[in-house]
Amino acid sequence: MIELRNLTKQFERFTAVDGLNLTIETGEFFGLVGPNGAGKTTTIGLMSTLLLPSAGEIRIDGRVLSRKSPELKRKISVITQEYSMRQDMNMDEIMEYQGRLYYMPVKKIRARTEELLAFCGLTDFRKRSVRKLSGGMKRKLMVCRALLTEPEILLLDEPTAGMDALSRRQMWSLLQKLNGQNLTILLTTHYMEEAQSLCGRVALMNRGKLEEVNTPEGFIRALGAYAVDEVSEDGMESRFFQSREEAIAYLAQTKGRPALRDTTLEDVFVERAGRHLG
Amino acid sequence: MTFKLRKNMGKGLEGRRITGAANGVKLYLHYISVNVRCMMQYKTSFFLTMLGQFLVPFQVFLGIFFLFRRFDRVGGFSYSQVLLCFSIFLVSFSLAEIFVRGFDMFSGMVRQGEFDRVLVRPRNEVLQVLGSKFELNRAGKMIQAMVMFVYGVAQSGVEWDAAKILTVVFMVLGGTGIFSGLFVVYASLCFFTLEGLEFVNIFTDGAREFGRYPFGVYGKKLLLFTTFVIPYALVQYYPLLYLLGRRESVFYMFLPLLSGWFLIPCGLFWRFGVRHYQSSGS
Repeated sequence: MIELRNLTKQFERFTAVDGLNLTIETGEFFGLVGPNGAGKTTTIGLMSTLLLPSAGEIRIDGRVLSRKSPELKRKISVITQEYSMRQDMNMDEIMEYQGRLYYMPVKKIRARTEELLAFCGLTDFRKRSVRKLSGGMKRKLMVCRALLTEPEILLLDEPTAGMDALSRRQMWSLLQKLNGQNLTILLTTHYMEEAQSLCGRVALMNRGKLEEVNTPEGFIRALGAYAVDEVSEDGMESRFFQSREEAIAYLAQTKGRPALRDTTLEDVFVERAGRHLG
Repeated sequence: MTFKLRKNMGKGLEGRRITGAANGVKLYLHYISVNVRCMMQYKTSFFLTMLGQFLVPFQVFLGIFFLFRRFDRVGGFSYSQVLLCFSIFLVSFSLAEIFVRGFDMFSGMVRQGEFDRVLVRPRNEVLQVLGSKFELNRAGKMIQAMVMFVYGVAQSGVEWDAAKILTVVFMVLGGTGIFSGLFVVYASLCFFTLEGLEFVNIFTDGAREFGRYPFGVYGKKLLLFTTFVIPYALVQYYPLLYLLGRRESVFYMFLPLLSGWFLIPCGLFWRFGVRHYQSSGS
């Protein structure tokens, strides 16, 4: 279990994360969403100990996480938004380098590399240098590298940023399989479809603060499960209804070409973001 | 494809841990092999850089050569004796550049946030910084130095024996240590200034240039500075006197090893810098 207790991170002129309290259960697939500057990446940085908190603490299975707790740090693997691999190394070298950093025996590194590259469909490209890999392959390689040390917690910062739709779906499938083996996953994303498809619970952050934690279905139910999109002179506007009947009744009385659909998590995000801006 | 996330559920990483130092050496050797392999991906660039590294001190050698066409001796030292002195000093500098380049290029690591990643890994940060760069193409300077060294050995009139050979080894080791220490100081400054301070190059590249001639020729003040502040004279001037038979005591032979004290303040400054960096929250 991961607990964030009053977690705060202040930089010189602003507070990136402000008194964050959150609990993530073991084996959970948890999403952290919010507009730009909400504090999502900073939260990941704090949980991976890349950043040190200004106040508060993070507990893993009841124990306080710090840079001086190697046993706890070994439980966590991070996949950052930026590609953090040497461009001139090939896949085997990247994996061996990572394994040696964590005192893994060479035989075990090689066996595990074999498994992981096959799992991610990268075996045929293992001798290719990172520089020559596509964006999707690089991301998969980062997943392999993160899993090499058998973590219990995986932190993902925008894991599918810049990926095409097919690669994104492949990554989702991979992450779902991993979560199915009881790996705790915390993911930050701008793609609401991603959070809705993958996450059991989602935390909505804004300006460093936690606004609400709920399941995607819970967020959607609160807004209204059905949406009617209307195109007017002012652009497209969506209205939300709790029941299909209400939505259909509204449709019937509306001129133009309105469309009925299911409400998505993106609708929730847009409505909330719009409220803050308005 | 069947895949198990963890073979030992809940036990986390087992790993076989040899003693820390031995394991660290293995990891460092692995770093070197990877760096060399990566460099050799671009053979043309590698050899051209090595050629450039050879030619840079060659100009310095030409300066010495033409000076001695005009003058018989400088500060009481002949042409071959000066070449012997310079070549040993240059080998030290080259070795430091090859092995400790990670510290010389450390400002990039801090600027790009790479040092944060270093800190979160369960490995000594010095080992990781050392392993981040291994520039074998800097050996061009060393090749130049070896050519001068061979000439100096043959022509300088030194009566070689085991003690004198050991003195040369100590001079190289001591010099490498001092230059390495200064690279560490430069890196440590990056924690406070982000970019490091170019003035440190006075004591590395500048000292390499000064080291063309035995430090005694520059006068008493500089000799005192290079004896007690940055101990270049302990690895160059004094043991050279022993090599040339101008000093009899074997104490001079061990002076290069005494210069090792310089690494202590360098190491302490590094640790201070790392603590400052960590406490500032990154």
